[in-house]
Amino acid sequence: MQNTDPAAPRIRGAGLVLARGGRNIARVPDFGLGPGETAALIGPSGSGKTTALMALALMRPPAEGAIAIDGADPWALSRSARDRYRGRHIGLIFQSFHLVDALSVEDNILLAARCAGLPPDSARAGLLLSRLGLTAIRRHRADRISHGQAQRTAVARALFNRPSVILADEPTSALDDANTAAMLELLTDVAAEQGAALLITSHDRRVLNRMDHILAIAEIAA
Amino acid sequence: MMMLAFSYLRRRWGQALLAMIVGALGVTAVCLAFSGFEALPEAAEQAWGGVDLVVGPKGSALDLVLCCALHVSDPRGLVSEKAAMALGRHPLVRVAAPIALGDNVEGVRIVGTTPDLLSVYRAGIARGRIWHKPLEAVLGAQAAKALNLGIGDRFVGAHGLAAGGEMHSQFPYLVVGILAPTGSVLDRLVLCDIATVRYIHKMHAEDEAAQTGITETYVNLPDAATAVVASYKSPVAMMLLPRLVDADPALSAGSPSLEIARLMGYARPLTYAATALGLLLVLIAAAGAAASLMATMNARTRDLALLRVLGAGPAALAGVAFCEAALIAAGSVVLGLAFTAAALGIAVHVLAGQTGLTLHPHVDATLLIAIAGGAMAVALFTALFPAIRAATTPVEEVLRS
Repeated sequence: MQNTDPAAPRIRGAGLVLARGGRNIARVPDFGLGPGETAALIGPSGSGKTTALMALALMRPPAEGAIAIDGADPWALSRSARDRYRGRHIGLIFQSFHLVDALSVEDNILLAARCAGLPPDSARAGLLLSRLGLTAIRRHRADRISHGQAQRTAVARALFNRPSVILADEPTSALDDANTAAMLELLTDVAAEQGAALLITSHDRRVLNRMDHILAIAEIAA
Repeated sequence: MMMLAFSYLRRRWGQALLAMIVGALGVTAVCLAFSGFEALPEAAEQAWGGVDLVVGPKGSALDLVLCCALHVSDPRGLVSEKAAMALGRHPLVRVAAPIALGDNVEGVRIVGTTPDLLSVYRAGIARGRIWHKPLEAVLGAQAAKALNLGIGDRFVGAHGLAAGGEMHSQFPYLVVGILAPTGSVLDRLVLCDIATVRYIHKMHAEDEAAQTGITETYVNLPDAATAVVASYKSPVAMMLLPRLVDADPALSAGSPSLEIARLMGYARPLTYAATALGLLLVLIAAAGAAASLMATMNARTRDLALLRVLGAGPAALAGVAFCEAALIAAGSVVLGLAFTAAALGIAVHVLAGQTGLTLHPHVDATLLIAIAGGAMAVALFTALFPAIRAATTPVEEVLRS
């Protein structure tokens, strides 16, 4: 799927309503994030932040509304095409990282390209490993690295394919102030460098202060 | 995806190795059933060389063949050379020769015969000459090597067909010739004039008779022979001559090809059993691999969901499962062929040591292709269910958990 409108925001949500168990639970305010723009999706626990992120990551369709990435509607694609589209255009950082334990740090990063059907660019992997301070442990298996190293590996994997959109699910929830600041700086810097939109779900004030926009999820009463 | 499958295998190498070994045992059993059992009659056919018929005393035809064509068992009695050689004059017989067994040198059989025996086996002298006098011997190529004897050397025979018998020290043989290799049993025999064997045994029998009062056949039957071996002039002889011989009240005929075919026919159920066992082992290995793969796929649901999130399609997910199963299958085939080679190597060694038969087992290309294809089919089938499961996994739920 091509970028149909160069001037269009990297990601845009309009009229998004989220459902769980067949019931509408939350509404996401309309938004549009251009290259390098950042936003935090906030709301109390259980309000549907992660559900919203799953919809934006093309894993779960919204009950209502439209999502456009680079001006196109990826939900119009078939399931496998949507999976491939996600792999190439969306960088996902999970709260629990979801690294493949059997693989090395470097192979985990290269997995982003392999799964998306792109050539595994070792030079880019080297660059990201260096940028994230992972060069020394590039051959270490993922289940033998520290929490912080795993987090940085997950970030490197999300950035590898130069995505249009970076979605991060509570990336600072387990970090102290110093590490939170470092993580946010890294994500915002990389988003700016790559011209990607960054959207983070969080209820962490330290995150909110660094974001361009705050999107507050509105719960729908039962 | 192969890299990922390999990493998964490396991580659980113990389980993977076990699955490969079980699969390899199946492949080995199938290969042995198909190649090993085929090699046995081939080895026997090579061993009996040009012998189409053995004529010996009344009794089992198979015994005659095993004793006088393959030289792997002991004789059951003696016949009159004159009576048995009557066959040699039949127009359907190309050539016939009497053989007299009874002595050995270090376990190598000494065969008293006539020079016509070389014609039966289509053998030729490589060095030296044929025997002209009593106690001159011509050695088969392997026998000369095994005994480390050359032209002009002397040796002493021992009584009986197995090493360790009473030495006939007063009758030393002189090596006058060495045969060119034939690939037949002749290579591992020592040949001499039949009169020499008769004389030595007559002397031995008279000594024993003097001590025990029992008179042996060699004393009673001046033209005694263990058997007569013959080569046909025409295949038609196969239909006629054995019946002709069997009609004689004192003689039996044994056709090596018929008797070995009959023997292998008795062993055929063993071949089927080994094949069935092999296939069963392959199925057990496949079931084990499938169960193991299912278990690992279950444990790996999160990883597979992640691969989908990262863009891998259902085919790629199936590819991971298939690659993993295919690596196990390929390992089983390689290991199985190695086991087969080792087992056949041992069988060749043991058989050669015990019977002198030389097995030339081989796994032919068709069987190899069938085994490799079968292994991949099993791998595909094994990977099918985990692949379906991986492709239909609700990623969102998995990643949330």
